[in-house]
Amino acid sequence: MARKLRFIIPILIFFIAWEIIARLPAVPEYLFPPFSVVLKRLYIEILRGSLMKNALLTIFRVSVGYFLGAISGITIGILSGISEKFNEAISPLVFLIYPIPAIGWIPVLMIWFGISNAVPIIAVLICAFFPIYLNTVRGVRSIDNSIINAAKTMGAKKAVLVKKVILPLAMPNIFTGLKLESGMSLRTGIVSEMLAIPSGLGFMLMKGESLIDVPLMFSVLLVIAIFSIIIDFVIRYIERKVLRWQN
Amino acid sequence: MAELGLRIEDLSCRILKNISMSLNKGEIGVVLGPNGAGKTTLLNTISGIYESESGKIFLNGENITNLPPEERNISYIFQNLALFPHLTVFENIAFPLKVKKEKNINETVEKFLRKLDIENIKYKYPLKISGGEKQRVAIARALVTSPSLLLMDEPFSSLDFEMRRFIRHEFMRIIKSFSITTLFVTHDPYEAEEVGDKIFRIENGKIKDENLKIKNRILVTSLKRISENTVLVDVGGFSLVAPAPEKNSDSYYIEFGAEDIHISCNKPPTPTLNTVSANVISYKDIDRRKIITLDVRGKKVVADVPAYIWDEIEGTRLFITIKYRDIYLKEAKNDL
Repeated sequence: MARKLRFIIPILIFFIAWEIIARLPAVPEYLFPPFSVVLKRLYIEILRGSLMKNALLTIFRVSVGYFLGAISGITIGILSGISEKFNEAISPLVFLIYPIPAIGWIPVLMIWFGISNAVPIIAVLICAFFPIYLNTVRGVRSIDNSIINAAKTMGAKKAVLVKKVILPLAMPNIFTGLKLESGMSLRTGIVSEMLAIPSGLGFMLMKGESLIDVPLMFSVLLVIAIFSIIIDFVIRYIERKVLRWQN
Repeated sequence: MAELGLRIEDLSCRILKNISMSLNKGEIGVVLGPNGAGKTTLLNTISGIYESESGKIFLNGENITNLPPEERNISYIFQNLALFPHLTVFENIAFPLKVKKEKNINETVEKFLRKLDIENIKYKYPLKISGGEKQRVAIARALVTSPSLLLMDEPFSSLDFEMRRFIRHEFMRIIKSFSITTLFVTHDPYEAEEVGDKIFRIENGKIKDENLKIKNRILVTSLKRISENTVLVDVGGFSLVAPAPEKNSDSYYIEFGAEDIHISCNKPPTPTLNTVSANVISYKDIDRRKIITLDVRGKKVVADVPAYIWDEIEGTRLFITIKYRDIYLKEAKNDL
Protein backbone atom coordinates (compact mmCIF):
# COMPACT_ATOMS: atom_id res chain seq x y z
CA MET A 1 0.00 0.00 0.00
CA ALA A 2 2.80 2.41 0.99
CA ARG A 3 4.56 1.58 -2.28
CA LYS A 4 1.42 2.35 -4.30
CA LEU A 5 1.03 5.66 -2.46
CA ARG A 6 4.67 6.54 -3.16
CA PHE A 7 3.86 6.02 -6.85
CA ILE A 8 0.53 7.87 -6.90
CA ILE A 9 1.29 10.92 -4.70
CA PRO A 10 3.90 12.55 -7.02
CA ILE A 11 1.51 12.11 -9.96
CA LEU A 12 -1.35 13.75 -8.03
CA ILE A 13 0.95 16.64 -7.03
CA PHE A 14 1.92 17.03 -10.69
CA PHE A 15 -1.73 17.24 -11.84
CA ILE A 16 -2.58 19.76 -9.06
CA ALA A 17 0.45 21.91 -9.97
CA TRP A 18 -0.58 21.70 -13.64
CA GLU A 19 -4.12 22.86 -12.78
CA ILE A 20 -2.83 25.77 -10.65
CA ILE A 21 -0.21 26.96 -13.16
CA ALA A 22 -2.62 26.74 -16.12
CA ARG A 23 -5.17 28.87 -14.24
CA LEU A 24 -2.71 31.70 -13.64
CA PRO A 25 -3.90 34.86 -15.47
CA ALA A 26 -0.65 35.11 -17.42
CA VAL A 27 -1.12 31.68 -19.02
CA PRO A 28 -3.43 31.61 -22.09
CA GLU A 29 -5.87 28.66 -21.81
CA TYR A 30 -5.79 27.83 -25.54
CA LEU A 31 -2.03 27.21 -25.31
CA PHE A 32 -1.84 25.47 -21.93
CA PRO A 33 -5.27 24.23 -20.79
CA PRO A 34 -5.81 23.25 -17.13
CA PHE A 35 -5.85 19.54 -16.27
CA SER A 36 -9.62 19.65 -15.57
CA VAL A 37 -10.25 21.01 -19.09
CA VAL A 38 -8.12 18.23 -20.59
CA LEU A 39 -10.05 15.61 -18.60
CA LYS A 40 -13.35 17.10 -19.79
CA ARG A 41 -12.13 17.02 -23.40
CA LEU A 42 -10.97 13.45 -22.95
CA TYR A 43 -14.43 12.49 -21.69
CA ILE A 44 -16.09 14.19 -24.69
CA GLU A 45 -13.74 12.46 -27.16
CA ILE A 46 -14.47 9.10 -25.54
CA LEU A 47 -18.20 9.72 -25.86
CA ARG A 48 -17.76 10.70 -29.51
CA GLY A 49 -15.98 7.41 -30.11
CA SER A 50 -13.20 8.82 -32.26
CA LEU A 51 -10.55 8.63 -29.54
CA MET A 52 -11.31 4.97 -28.75
CA LYS A 53 -11.35 4.07 -32.44
CA ASN A 54 -7.99 5.71 -33.06
CA ALA A 55 -6.52 4.35 -29.83
CA LEU A 56 -7.52 0.79 -30.79
CA LEU A 57 -5.91 1.25 -34.21
CA THR A 58 -2.67 2.38 -32.56
CA ILE A 59 -2.75 -0.52 -30.10
CA PHE A 60 -3.32 -2.96 -32.96
CA ARG A 61 -0.42 -1.60 -35.06
CA VAL A 62 2.02 -1.37 -32.16
CA SER A 63 1.06 -4.81 -30.79
CA VAL A 64 1.42 -6.58 -34.13
CA GLY A 65 4.75 -4.86 -34.92
CA TYR A 66 6.09 -5.46 -31.43
CA PHE A 67 4.97 -9.12 -31.45
CA LEU A 68 6.57 -9.78 -34.85
CA GLY A 69 9.74 -7.94 -33.79
CA ALA A 70 9.92 -9.93 -30.56
CA ILE A 71 9.31 -13.31 -32.22
CA SER A 72 11.86 -12.67 -34.97
CA GLY A 73 14.38 -11.12 -32.50
CA ILE A 74 14.12 -14.10 -30.13
CA THR A 75 14.23 -16.72 -32.91
CA ILE A 76 17.18 -15.23 -34.78
CA GLY A 77 18.86 -14.35 -31.47
CA ILE A 78 18.70 -17.98 -30.33
CA LEU A 79 20.05 -19.21 -33.67
CA SER A 80 22.92 -16.69 -33.39
CA GLY A 81 23.55 -17.72 -29.78
CA ILE A 82 23.81 -21.43 -30.47
CA SER A 83 25.44 -21.40 -33.90
CA GLU A 84 28.72 -19.55 -34.39
CA LYS A 85 28.41 -19.90 -38.20
CA PHE A 86 24.94 -18.36 -38.24
CA ASN A 87 26.13 -15.56 -35.97
CA GLU A 88 29.10 -14.84 -38.23
CA ALA A 89 26.72 -14.55 -41.18
CA ILE A 90 24.19 -12.29 -39.50
CA SER A 91 26.10 -10.07 -37.09
CA PRO A 92 27.72 -7.85 -39.80
CA LEU A 93 24.22 -7.11 -41.15
CA VAL A 94 22.94 -6.35 -37.67
CA PHE A 95 25.74 -3.89 -37.00
CA LEU A 96 25.13 -2.25 -40.38
CA ILE A 97 21.37 -1.80 -39.97
CA TYR A 98 21.02 -1.37 -36.18
CA PRO A 99 22.30 2.25 -36.04
CA ILE A 100 19.63 3.41 -38.51
CA PRO A 101 16.72 4.80 -36.46
CA ALA A 102 13.46 2.92 -37.08
CA ILE A 103 11.68 6.17 -37.98
CA GLY A 104 14.30 6.69 -40.70
CA TRP A 105 12.64 3.81 -42.60
CA ILE A 106 9.20 5.46 -42.62
CA PRO A 107 9.60 7.47 -45.89
CA VAL A 108 10.88 4.34 -47.65
CA LEU A 109 8.04 2.26 -46.24
CA MET A 110 5.53 4.90 -47.37
CA ILE A 111 6.77 4.55 -50.94
CA TRP A 112 6.78 0.75 -50.76
CA PHE A 113 3.44 0.22 -49.01
CA GLY A 114 1.52 3.50 -49.51
CA ILE A 115 -0.92 4.62 -46.85
CA SER A 116 -1.49 1.34 -45.04
CA ASN A 117 -1.12 -0.37 -41.68
CA ALA A 118 2.09 -1.98 -42.98
CA VAL A 119 4.04 1.27 -42.49
CA PRO A 120 3.68 1.63 -38.68
CA ILE A 121 3.72 -2.16 -38.18
CA ILE A 122 7.04 -2.59 -40.03
CA ALA A 123 8.54 0.50 -38.40
CA VAL A 124 7.67 -0.92 -34.95
CA LEU A 125 8.99 -4.35 -36.00
CA ILE A 126 12.35 -2.82 -37.00
CA CYS A 127 12.45 -0.83 -33.75
CA ALA A 128 11.70 -3.88 -31.56
CA PHE A 129 13.80 -6.42 -33.43
CA PHE A 130 17.38 -5.26 -32.79
CA PRO A 131 17.44 -4.75 -29.00
CA ILE A 132 15.47 -7.96 -28.46
CA TYR A 133 17.81 -9.81 -30.83
CA LEU A 134 20.94 -8.51 -29.08
CA ASN A 135 19.59 -9.27 -25.60
CA THR A 136 18.59 -12.78 -26.68
CA VAL A 137 22.10 -13.47 -28.03
CA ARG A 138 23.57 -12.17 -24.75
CA GLY A 139 21.11 -14.34 -22.78
CA VAL A 140 22.00 -17.52 -24.70
CA ARG A 141 25.73 -16.83 -24.41
CA SER A 142 25.46 -16.26 -20.65
CA ILE A 143 24.08 -19.77 -19.99
CA ASP A 144 26.60 -21.88 -18.08
CA ASN A 145 28.09 -24.43 -20.49
CA SER A 146 27.88 -27.18 -17.91
CA ILE A 147 24.07 -26.82 -17.83
CA ILE A 148 23.90 -27.31 -21.60
CA ASN A 149 26.32 -30.23 -21.43
CA ALA A 150 24.34 -31.75 -18.56
CA ALA A 151 21.17 -31.62 -20.67
CA LYS A 152 23.02 -33.16 -23.63
CA THR A 153 24.36 -36.08 -21.58
CA MET A 154 20.82 -36.65 -20.25
CA GLY A 155 19.70 -37.26 -23.82
CA ALA A 156 18.37 -33.84 -24.87
CA LYS A 157 18.56 -33.32 -28.62
CA LYS A 158 18.79 -29.84 -30.15
CA ALA A 159 15.06 -29.06 -30.30
CA VAL A 160 14.46 -30.12 -26.68
CA LEU A 161 17.64 -28.35 -25.59
CA VAL A 162 16.42 -25.07 -27.11
CA LYS A 163 12.83 -25.38 -25.88
CA LYS A 164 13.44 -26.69 -22.38
CA VAL A 165 16.83 -25.27 -21.42
CA ILE A 166 18.20 -22.50 -23.63
CA LEU A 167 15.02 -20.46 -24.13
CA PRO A 168 13.93 -20.48 -20.46
CA LEU A 169 17.43 -19.62 -19.23
CA ALA A 170 17.82 -16.79 -21.76
CA MET A 171 14.48 -15.33 -20.62
CA PRO A 172 15.90 -12.87 -18.03
CA ASN A 173 17.89 -11.16 -20.80
CA ILE A 174 15.03 -11.44 -23.29
CA PHE A 175 12.75 -9.64 -20.84
CA THR A 176 15.32 -6.86 -20.48
CA GLY A 177 15.01 -6.34 -24.25
CA LEU A 178 11.22 -6.65 -24.21
CA LYS A 179 10.88 -4.04 -21.44
CA LEU A 180 13.31 -1.67 -23.12
CA GLU A 181 11.47 -1.85 -26.41
CA SER A 182 7.86 -1.70 -25.24
CA GLY A 183 8.02 2.10 -24.75
CA MET A 184 10.16 2.65 -27.84
CA SER A 185 7.72 0.65 -29.97
CA LEU A 186 4.77 2.78 -28.86
CA ARG A 187 6.72 5.95 -29.64
CA THR A 188 7.74 4.63 -33.08
CA GLY A 189 4.16 3.59 -33.84
CA ILE A 190 2.82 7.05 -32.99
CA VAL A 191 5.52 8.84 -34.99
CA SER A 192 4.69 6.59 -37.98
CA GLU A 193 1.02 7.54 -37.69
CA MET A 194 1.96 11.24 -37.45
CA LEU A 195 3.93 11.00 -40.68
CA ALA A 196 2.23 8.35 -42.76
CA ILE A 197 -1.38 7.53 -41.90
CA PRO A 198 -4.63 9.49 -41.41
CA SER A 199 -5.69 7.42 -38.39
CA GLY A 200 -4.44 6.44 -34.93
CA LEU A 201 -3.32 8.51 -31.94
CA GLY A 202 -0.39 9.95 -33.91
CA PHE A 203 -2.80 11.27 -36.52
CA MET A 204 -5.03 12.80 -33.78
CA LEU A 205 -2.00 14.68 -32.46
CA MET A 206 -1.28 16.08 -35.91
CA LYS A 207 -4.96 16.98 -36.33
CA GLY A 208 -4.86 18.85 -33.00
CA GLU A 209 -1.75 20.69 -34.15
CA SER A 210 -3.32 21.79 -37.47
CA LEU A 211 -6.49 23.01 -35.67
CA ILE A 212 -4.48 24.48 -32.77
CA ASP A 213 -6.64 22.29 -30.57
CA VAL A 214 -4.29 21.99 -27.56
CA PRO A 215 -6.84 20.31 -25.19
CA LEU A 216 -7.27 17.53 -27.78
CA MET A 217 -3.49 17.11 -28.05
CA PHE A 218 -3.15 16.92 -24.27
CA SER A 219 -5.97 14.38 -23.97
CA VAL A 220 -4.24 12.20 -26.61
CA LEU A 221 -0.91 12.55 -24.77
CA LEU A 222 -2.65 11.49 -21.56
CA VAL A 223 -3.99 8.36 -23.29
CA ILE A 224 -0.50 7.56 -24.62
CA ALA A 225 0.94 7.89 -21.09
CA ILE A 226 -1.76 5.56 -19.70
CA PHE A 227 -1.04 3.02 -22.46
CA SER A 228 2.68 3.11 -21.66
CA ILE A 229 1.97 2.38 -17.99
CA ILE A 230 -0.42 -0.47 -18.88
CA ILE A 231 2.06 -2.04 -21.35
CA ASP A 232 4.88 -1.82 -18.79
CA PHE A 233 2.62 -3.34 -16.11
CA VAL A 234 1.57 -6.23 -18.38
CA ILE A 235 5.16 -7.05 -19.38
CA ARG A 236 6.36 -6.92 -15.76
CA TYR A 237 3.46 -9.18 -14.73
CA ILE A 238 4.35 -11.73 -17.42
CA GLU A 239 8.02 -11.46 -16.43
CA ARG A 240 7.20 -12.23 -12.79
CA LYS A 241 5.17 -15.28 -13.85
CA VAL A 242 7.75 -16.60 -16.34
CA LEU A 243 10.79 -15.92 -14.13
CA ARG A 244 9.25 -17.05 -10.84
CA TRP A 245 12.29 -19.32 -10.34
CA GLN A 246 14.40 -16.20 -9.88
CA ASN A 247 12.24 -14.64 -7.16
CA MET B 1 35.38 -63.23 -13.05
CA ALA B 2 34.15 -59.65 -12.70
CA GLU B 3 32.56 -58.11 -15.82
CA LEU B 4 34.19 -55.06 -17.40
CA GLY B 5 32.16 -51.87 -17.11
CA LEU B 6 34.37 -49.22 -18.72
CA ARG B 7 37.36 -49.84 -20.96
CA ILE B 8 39.39 -47.11 -22.62
CA GLU B 9 42.04 -47.90 -25.20
CA ASP B 10 44.70 -45.39 -26.35
CA LEU B 11 42.37 -42.43 -26.06
CA SER B 12 43.70 -39.06 -27.22
CA CYS B 13 41.82 -35.77 -27.16
CA ARG B 14 43.19 -32.24 -26.65
CA ILE B 15 45.63 -32.58 -23.72
CA LEU B 16 44.98 -36.33 -23.28
CA LYS B 17 47.58 -38.66 -24.75
CA ASN B 18 47.05 -42.41 -25.19
CA ILE B 19 44.93 -42.95 -22.12
CA SER B 20 44.14 -46.59 -21.34
CA MET B 21 42.19 -47.68 -18.31
CA SER B 22 39.47 -50.06 -17.22
CA LEU B 23 36.86 -50.41 -14.50
CA ASN B 24 34.82 -53.44 -13.56
CA LYS B 25 31.04 -53.14 -13.37
CA GLY B 26 30.06 -51.41 -10.13
CA GLU B 27 33.59 -50.23 -9.37
CA ILE B 28 34.48 -46.67 -8.45
CA GLY B 29 37.55 -45.34 -10.23
CA VAL B 30 39.18 -42.10 -9.16
CA VAL B 31 41.17 -39.90 -11.53
CA LEU B 32 43.61 -38.00 -9.34
CA GLY B 33 45.74 -35.16 -10.57
CA PRO B 34 46.59 -31.48 -10.31
CA ASN B 35 44.65 -28.69 -12.03
CA GLY B 36 45.20 -28.70 -15.79
CA ALA B 37 46.25 -32.37 -15.86
CA GLY B 38 43.34 -33.31 -18.13
CA LYS B 39 40.89 -34.78 -15.60
CA THR B 40 37.82 -32.87 -16.80
CA THR B 41 38.87 -33.33 -20.44
CA LEU B 42 38.87 -37.08 -19.81
CA LEU B 43 35.32 -36.99 -18.43
CA ASN B 44 34.14 -34.72 -21.24
CA THR B 45 35.62 -37.11 -23.82
CA ILE B 46 34.08 -40.18 -22.22
CA SER B 47 30.68 -38.45 -22.05
CA GLY B 48 30.91 -37.39 -25.71
CA ILE B 49 30.98 -33.63 -25.05
CA TYR B 50 34.42 -33.61 -26.71
CA GLU B 51 35.07 -35.74 -29.78
CA SER B 52 38.04 -38.06 -29.32
CA GLU B 53 40.92 -37.72 -31.78
CA SER B 54 41.92 -41.38 -31.57
CA GLY B 55 41.35 -44.43 -29.41
CA LYS B 56 38.26 -46.33 -28.31
CA ILE B 57 35.81 -46.22 -25.43
CA PHE B 58 33.82 -49.33 -24.50
CA LEU B 59 30.94 -49.30 -22.06
CA ASN B 60 29.62 -52.69 -20.93
CA GLY B 61 31.30 -54.18 -24.00
CA GLU B 62 29.74 -51.74 -26.52
CA ASN B 63 31.94 -49.37 -28.49
CA ILE B 64 30.53 -45.91 -27.73
CA THR B 65 33.43 -43.86 -29.16
CA ASN B 66 31.42 -42.35 -32.01
CA LEU B 67 28.02 -42.11 -30.34
CA PRO B 68 26.62 -38.64 -29.54
CA PRO B 69 26.37 -37.79 -25.80
CA GLU B 70 22.62 -38.38 -25.69
CA GLU B 71 23.00 -42.00 -26.83
CA ARG B 72 25.73 -43.10 -24.41
CA ASN B 73 23.60 -43.75 -21.30
CA ILE B 74 26.09 -41.88 -19.14
CA SER B 75 25.19 -39.55 -16.27
CA TYR B 76 27.52 -36.69 -15.48
CA ILE B 77 27.61 -34.75 -12.21
CA PHE B 78 29.46 -31.50 -12.90
CA GLN B 79 31.64 -29.55 -10.49
CA ASN B 80 28.89 -26.93 -10.06
CA LEU B 81 26.22 -29.70 -10.16
CA ALA B 82 24.55 -27.96 -13.16
CA LEU B 83 21.03 -28.14 -11.78
CA PHE B 84 18.50 -26.40 -14.03
CA PRO B 85 17.66 -23.21 -12.09
CA HIS B 86 14.33 -22.73 -13.87
CA LEU B 87 13.00 -26.17 -12.93
CA THR B 88 11.83 -27.34 -9.51
CA VAL B 89 13.61 -30.19 -7.74
CA PHE B 90 10.92 -32.58 -9.02
CA GLU B 91 11.23 -31.28 -12.59
CA ASN B 92 15.03 -31.47 -12.45
CA ILE B 93 14.90 -35.15 -11.53
CA ALA B 94 12.14 -35.85 -14.06
CA PHE B 95 14.02 -34.07 -16.88
CA PRO B 96 16.18 -37.00 -18.12
CA LEU B 97 13.17 -39.35 -17.91
CA LYS B 98 11.01 -36.97 -19.95
CA VAL B 99 13.75 -36.51 -22.54
CA LYS B 100 14.04 -40.28 -22.90
CA LYS B 101 10.21 -40.58 -22.98
CA GLU B 102 10.19 -43.09 -20.10
CA LYS B 103 6.95 -44.38 -18.61
CA ASN B 104 5.78 -43.92 -15.00
CA ILE B 105 7.86 -40.77 -14.59
CA ASN B 106 5.99 -39.50 -11.51
CA GLU B 107 6.34 -42.80 -9.63
CA THR B 108 10.06 -43.08 -10.46
CA VAL B 109 10.78 -39.51 -9.38
CA GLU B 110 8.79 -39.93 -6.16
CA LYS B 111 10.79 -43.10 -5.41
CA PHE B 112 14.10 -41.23 -5.78
CA LEU B 113 12.82 -38.27 -3.76
CA ARG B 114 12.03 -40.70 -0.93
CA LYS B 115 15.33 -42.56 -1.28
CA LEU B 116 17.36 -39.38 -1.06
CA ASP B 117 15.12 -37.86 1.59
CA ILE B 118 14.30 -34.72 -0.42
CA GLU B 119 10.51 -35.07 -0.69
CA ASN B 120 10.02 -31.93 1.38
CA ILE B 121 11.78 -29.74 -1.20
CA LYS B 122 10.33 -31.21 -4.38
CA TYR B 123 8.48 -28.02 -5.36
CA LYS B 124 11.37 -25.70 -4.57
CA TYR B 125 13.72 -24.17 -7.12
CA PRO B 126 17.48 -24.86 -6.85
CA LEU B 127 18.13 -21.23 -5.82
CA LYS B 128 16.04 -21.85 -2.69
CA ILE B 129 17.71 -25.01 -1.35
CA SER B 130 20.91 -25.63 0.63
CA GLY B 131 24.23 -26.91 -0.74
CA GLY B 132 23.68 -30.38 0.74
CA GLU B 133 20.19 -30.60 -0.73
CA LYS B 134 21.55 -29.56 -4.14
CA GLN B 135 24.05 -32.43 -3.97
CA ARG B 136 21.23 -34.89 -3.27
CA VAL B 137 19.14 -33.55 -6.14
CA ALA B 138 22.15 -33.90 -8.45
CA ILE B 139 22.62 -37.55 -7.39
CA ALA B 140 18.93 -38.32 -7.81
CA ARG B 141 18.94 -36.76 -11.29
CA ALA B 142 22.08 -38.68 -12.22
CA LEU B 143 20.81 -42.06 -11.00
CA VAL B 144 17.16 -41.87 -12.01
CA THR B 145 17.81 -43.23 -15.51
CA SER B 146 19.94 -46.16 -14.25
CA PRO B 147 23.00 -45.10 -16.25
CA SER B 148 25.71 -47.55 -17.31
CA LEU B 149 28.37 -45.11 -16.13
CA LEU B 150 28.40 -42.21 -13.69
CA LEU B 151 30.95 -39.45 -14.17
CA MET B 152 31.64 -37.03 -11.31
CA ASP B 153 33.80 -33.95 -11.68
CA GLU B 154 34.89 -32.79 -8.20
CA PRO B 155 31.30 -32.48 -7.02
CA PHE B 156 32.31 -31.59 -3.44
CA SER B 157 34.89 -28.93 -4.22
CA SER B 158 32.60 -26.04 -3.29
CA LEU B 159 31.94 -27.35 0.24
CA ASP B 160 34.00 -26.63 3.35
CA PHE B 161 36.14 -29.41 4.83
CA GLU B 162 33.70 -30.79 7.43
CA MET B 163 30.64 -30.56 5.19
CA ARG B 164 32.64 -32.11 2.37
CA ARG B 165 33.58 -35.14 4.47
CA PHE B 166 30.04 -35.68 5.63
CA ILE B 167 28.39 -35.25 2.21
CA ARG B 168 31.07 -37.32 0.46
CA HIS B 169 30.45 -40.26 2.74
CA GLU B 170 26.69 -39.99 2.29
CA PHE B 171 27.10 -39.56 -1.46
CA MET B 172 29.34 -42.58 -1.92
CA ARG B 173 27.13 -44.76 0.30
CA ILE B 174 24.17 -44.03 -1.98
CA ILE B 175 26.17 -44.57 -5.17
CA LYS B 176 27.61 -47.86 -3.90
CA SER B 177 24.15 -49.08 -3.01
CA PHE B 178 23.19 -48.68 -6.68
CA SER B 179 26.31 -50.57 -7.88
CA ILE B 180 26.89 -48.20 -10.79
CA THR B 181 30.29 -48.04 -12.46
CA THR B 182 31.63 -44.62 -11.51
CA LEU B 183 34.55 -42.46 -12.55
CA PHE B 184 35.28 -39.72 -10.05
CA VAL B 185 37.68 -36.83 -10.58
CA THR B 186 39.52 -35.08 -7.78
CA HIS B 187 42.78 -33.31 -6.99
CA ASP B 188 42.57 -34.35 -3.33
CA PRO B 189 44.56 -37.53 -2.54
CA TYR B 190 42.64 -38.12 0.72
CA GLU B 191 39.36 -37.97 -1.16
CA ALA B 192 40.75 -40.36 -3.79
CA GLU B 193 41.81 -42.86 -1.12
CA GLU B 194 38.46 -42.72 0.61
CA VAL B 195 36.26 -42.96 -2.46
CA GLY B 196 38.00 -45.11 -5.04
CA ASP B 197 38.35 -48.83 -5.65
CA LYS B 198 40.98 -47.88 -8.23
CA ILE B 199 43.03 -44.72 -8.44
CA PHE B 200 44.41 -43.42 -11.73
CA ARG B 201 47.04 -40.71 -11.32
CA ILE B 202 47.02 -38.32 -14.25
CA GLU B 203 49.66 -35.73 -15.13
CA ASN B 204 49.99 -33.66 -18.31
CA GLY B 205 47.30 -35.72 -20.01
CA LYS B 206 48.91 -39.11 -19.29
CA ILE B 207 48.01 -41.81 -16.77
CA LYS B 208 51.06 -42.12 -14.51
CA ASP B 209 50.08 -45.18 -12.53
CA GLU B 210 47.11 -47.25 -11.54
CA ASN B 211 46.58 -48.33 -7.98
CA LEU B 212 44.12 -51.06 -7.08
CA LYS B 213 42.70 -50.74 -3.61
CA ILE B 214 42.11 -54.02 -1.82
CA LYS B 215 38.54 -54.81 -0.86
CA ASN B 216 37.38 -57.59 1.47
CA ARG B 217 34.19 -59.33 0.45
CA ILE B 218 32.55 -61.95 2.65
CA LEU B 219 29.27 -63.73 1.99
CA VAL B 220 26.60 -63.09 4.61
CA THR B 221 25.08 -66.19 6.22
CA SER B 222 22.31 -64.41 8.09
CA LEU B 223 21.05 -60.91 8.55
CA LYS B 224 18.96 -59.49 11.41
CA ARG B 225 17.43 -56.00 11.36
CA ILE B 226 18.14 -54.12 14.60
CA SER B 227 16.57 -50.81 13.61
CA GLU B 228 15.28 -49.17 10.45
CA ASN B 229 18.78 -48.31 9.25
CA THR B 230 20.94 -50.90 10.99
CA VAL B 231 21.40 -54.65 10.66
CA LEU B 232 23.40 -57.30 12.48
CA VAL B 233 25.28 -59.33 9.91
CA ASP B 234 26.56 -62.85 10.57
CA VAL B 235 29.29 -64.00 8.20
CA GLY B 236 29.85 -67.45 9.67
CA GLY B 237 32.62 -66.96 12.18
CA PHE B 238 31.74 -63.51 13.48
CA SER B 239 29.09 -60.79 13.41
CA LEU B 240 29.22 -57.11 12.46
CA VAL B 241 26.79 -54.24 12.79
CA ALA B 242 26.32 -52.50 9.45
CA PRO B 243 24.04 -49.99 7.70
CA ALA B 244 20.93 -51.66 6.29
CA PRO B 245 21.07 -52.49 2.56
CA GLU B 246 19.27 -50.22 0.10
CA LYS B 247 17.97 -53.11 -2.01
CA ASN B 248 16.14 -56.19 -0.74
CA SER B 249 17.72 -59.44 -1.83
CA ASP B 250 17.88 -63.14 -0.94
CA SER B 251 21.62 -63.05 -0.40
CA TYR B 252 24.21 -60.41 0.40
CA TYR B 253 27.91 -59.98 0.88
CA ILE B 254 29.66 -57.40 3.02
CA GLU B 255 32.39 -55.26 1.56
CA PHE B 256 34.99 -53.21 3.41
CA GLY B 257 38.32 -51.79 2.34
CA ALA B 258 41.62 -53.26 3.55
CA GLU B 259 42.54 -49.71 4.53
CA ASP B 260 39.40 -49.36 6.65
CA ILE B 261 40.56 -52.01 9.12
CA HIS B 262 42.06 -50.70 12.38
CA ILE B 263 44.38 -53.06 14.24
CA SER B 264 45.65 -53.21 17.84
CA CYS B 265 47.32 -55.87 19.94
CA ASN B 266 45.19 -55.27 23.03
CA LYS B 267 41.55 -56.16 23.44
CA PRO B 268 39.56 -52.96 24.13
CA PRO B 269 38.79 -52.69 27.91
CA THR B 270 35.06 -52.31 27.25
CA PRO B 271 32.93 -54.02 24.57
CA THR B 272 33.41 -52.19 21.28
CA LEU B 273 31.23 -52.36 18.19
CA ASN B 274 32.67 -54.46 15.35
CA THR B 275 35.89 -55.51 17.12
CA VAL B 276 36.98 -59.15 16.67
CA SER B 277 40.14 -61.11 17.33
CA ALA B 278 42.32 -62.24 14.42
CA ASN B 279 45.48 -64.23 13.71
CA VAL B 280 48.18 -63.09 11.32
CA ILE B 281 48.73 -65.55 8.48
CA SER B 282 51.27 -63.52 6.50
CA TYR B 283 52.30 -59.99 5.63
CA LYS B 284 54.23 -58.11 2.99
CA ASP B 285 55.75 -54.63 2.64
CA ILE B 286 54.49 -52.24 -0.02
CA ASP B 287 56.00 -48.77 0.12
CA ARG B 288 55.57 -47.65 3.71
CA ARG B 289 52.59 -49.89 4.32
CA LYS B 290 51.99 -53.47 5.45
CA ILE B 291 49.53 -55.71 3.67
CA ILE B 292 48.53 -58.27 6.30
CA THR B 293 46.55 -61.43 5.61
CA LEU B 294 44.51 -62.35 8.65
CA ASP B 295 42.46 -65.31 9.80
CA VAL B 296 39.36 -63.88 11.45
CA ARG B 297 37.58 -66.88 12.99
CA GLY B 298 37.98 -68.93 9.87
CA LYS B 299 37.52 -66.11 7.34
CA LYS B 300 40.43 -64.66 5.38
CA VAL B 301 40.64 -60.88 5.67
CA VAL B 302 43.29 -58.53 4.23
CA ALA B 303 44.29 -55.39 6.11
CA ASP B 304 46.35 -52.52 4.69
CA VAL B 305 47.93 -50.46 7.49
CA PRO B 306 50.73 -47.90 7.73
CA ALA B 307 54.07 -49.54 8.65
CA TYR B 308 54.45 -47.56 11.89
CA ILE B 309 51.23 -49.12 13.26
CA TRP B 310 52.44 -52.60 12.42
CA ASP B 311 55.72 -51.92 14.23
CA GLU B 312 53.78 -51.57 17.49
CA ILE B 313 52.17 -55.03 17.12
CA GLU B 314 53.69 -57.89 19.13
CA GLY B 315 53.00 -61.52 18.34
CA THR B 316 50.56 -62.90 15.78
CA ARG B 317 47.30 -62.41 17.63
CA LEU B 318 45.60 -59.04 17.37
CA PHE B 319 42.21 -57.30 17.35
CA ILE B 320 40.64 -55.67 14.34
CA THR B 321 37.92 -53.01 14.29
CA ILE B 322 35.85 -52.06 11.26
CA LYS B 323 33.78 -48.92 11.59
CA TYR B 324 30.04 -49.27 11.06
CA ARG B 325 29.99 -46.70 8.26
CA ASP B 326 32.84 -48.38 6.34
CA ILE B 327 30.86 -51.58 5.81
CA TYR B 328 28.72 -51.91 2.71
CA LEU B 329 26.08 -54.58 2.27
CA LYS B 330 25.66 -55.55 -1.35
CA GLU B 331 23.42 -57.88 -3.23
CA ALA B 332 25.26 -61.16 -3.89
CA LYS B 333 25.01 -62.35 -7.47
CA ASN B 334 27.53 -64.78 -8.94
CA ASP B 335 30.58 -62.56 -8.67
CA LEU B 336 31.90 -63.86 -5.32
